[in-house]
Amino acid sequence: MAAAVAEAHRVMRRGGVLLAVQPTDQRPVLEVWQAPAGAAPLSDADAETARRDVLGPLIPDPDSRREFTATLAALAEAVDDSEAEAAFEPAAVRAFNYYQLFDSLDDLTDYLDDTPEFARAPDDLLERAAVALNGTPGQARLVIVQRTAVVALHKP
Amino acid sequence: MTSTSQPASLELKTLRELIDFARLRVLEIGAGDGRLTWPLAGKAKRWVALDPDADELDAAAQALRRSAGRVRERVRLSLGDARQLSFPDGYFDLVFFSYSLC
Repeated sequence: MAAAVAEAHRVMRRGGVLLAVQPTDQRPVLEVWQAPAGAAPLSDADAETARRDVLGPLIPDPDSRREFTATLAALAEAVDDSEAEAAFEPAAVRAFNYYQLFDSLDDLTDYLDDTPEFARAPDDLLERAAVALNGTPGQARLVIVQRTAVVALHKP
Repeated sequence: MTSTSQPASLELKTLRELIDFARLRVLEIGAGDGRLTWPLAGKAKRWVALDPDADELDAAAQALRRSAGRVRERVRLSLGDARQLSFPDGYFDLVFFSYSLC
């Protein structure tokens, strides 16, 4: 097992659970959300009710994809490690969309500049984002949608 | 401003559907500034928030001082490396890798 997983296994009681949250290797997508007229400021809780327009995918940093692959490999190894005294058993897997909301194009580009390990936005995507924000009456926000996985393993 | 420092509602909903954190001894690895710690730790028996970055833990400590009393009572911040833990065998009910297993 990977060192961190092996340590987690050691400090966990029998019957305990290892829980891992990690973005998947699906490309994050940029959207523009528009709230109904008179609605409260948009938040991620409005994912079902806001008008959503997909602007296009971001370009993830190759390292972030490698991180997800490494995470999956570490978890798979933890389950398959038949030589370990008591390896893990799969318990559950869930996935959800993680939404990051931005008030302006500047906020979005500042975030991407500050987190180059996450992703970058091609120029044409940023142009579409600017047009979408300017052309949207009322309240609108830019939203990065990142598919994220939660994996639970059980220590028998 | 962005909402990136706040836990997402779907994120918390998914975690709570999978795990009932009540009365558990939890080790959170990669706790960072405690973004996920504060909303989840309130019902736990004990919550150790571990991170290798002292600056992140400073931010977590500031947030912890502003958090509800029941959270302050349960949470302990710990600077450390997940690959070499100082806790005894079998101490925790749950080990939670918060965007940190790779």
